[in-house]
Amino acid sequence: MPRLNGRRFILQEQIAEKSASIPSSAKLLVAEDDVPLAQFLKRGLQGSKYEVDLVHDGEIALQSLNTSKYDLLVLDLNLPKLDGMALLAKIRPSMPGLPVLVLTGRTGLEDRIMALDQGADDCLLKPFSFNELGARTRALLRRKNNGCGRVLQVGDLVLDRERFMVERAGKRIDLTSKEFSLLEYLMVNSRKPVTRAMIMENVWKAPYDANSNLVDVYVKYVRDKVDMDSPVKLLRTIRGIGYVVADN
Amino acid sequence: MSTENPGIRTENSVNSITVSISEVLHQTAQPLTVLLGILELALLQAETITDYRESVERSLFEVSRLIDCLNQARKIAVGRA
Repeated sequence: MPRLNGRRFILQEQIAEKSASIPSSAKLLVAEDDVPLAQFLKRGLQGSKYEVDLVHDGEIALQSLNTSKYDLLVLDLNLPKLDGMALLAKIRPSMPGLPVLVLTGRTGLEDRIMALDQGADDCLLKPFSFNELGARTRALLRRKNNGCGRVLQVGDLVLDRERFMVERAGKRIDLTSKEFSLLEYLMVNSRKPVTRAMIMENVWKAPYDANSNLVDVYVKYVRDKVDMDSPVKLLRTIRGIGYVVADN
Repeated sequence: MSTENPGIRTENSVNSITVSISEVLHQTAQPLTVLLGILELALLQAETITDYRESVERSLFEVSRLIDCLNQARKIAVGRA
């Protein structure tokens, strides 16, 4: 293989490592009307071990999204029959959690702003680097899995939102409904300290009352169940601020 | 005799050229994206002469699409002159 100058070559090697290390069982829908570009994207993304379906117009894209479950949509704005912007408007109410990466050949800033406001999560201007598309795809999937995905994980603590189940090191932990919601909120914000007021507003949907120790009581319940049997304490108090769930 | 204002006609003509140029530029972005990607992936993944040869052949196809775009832009430029 021809060697490029040192720095550029290292970058290529690093990208190859990142691409190879993704647990890519994700299923992607690519909606792109330019057939050679669409086929290239399919081939390239399959090379990153994603499952990829290809459609060339907006109506078929909509049908595919309604009949199959996808982890990410790569959407060209300039689609025939139903353009990308109209498609976004149709799918967002029913699929708020689907990450959408928009591709556009229009250089106008307005198009990109409109696409993001319409519900796109990210935007790439053509011509774009395939390596950048790959990195943005990984970032969107990572965000989905951390923030809005079915399963949240911090260290050996796993919370499954759909199955309403929590495990620590493979051992089941029984939580009440409120304890589960509290842990879920802390794990969605893992590694970021959250205040008692934030917990009160997001878990109890009520204004924070400084005279109440409700949050501290529930945090203790959760901590006793999650951390008691483990030498590594995941739920920690940040003095003067609140709480954090983190694995380091 | 046409009642159309010559000023408006010129403006429409300029708008039409602008739209065409914008369309050609848009078309240019597609093969450029593929070409860039083919070269990036060749650097990352190609191992054998056959892999490189396939990348070159696919690149040539995209270059031919770029040449088509260039020729379209030339036609617009000639029409404008």
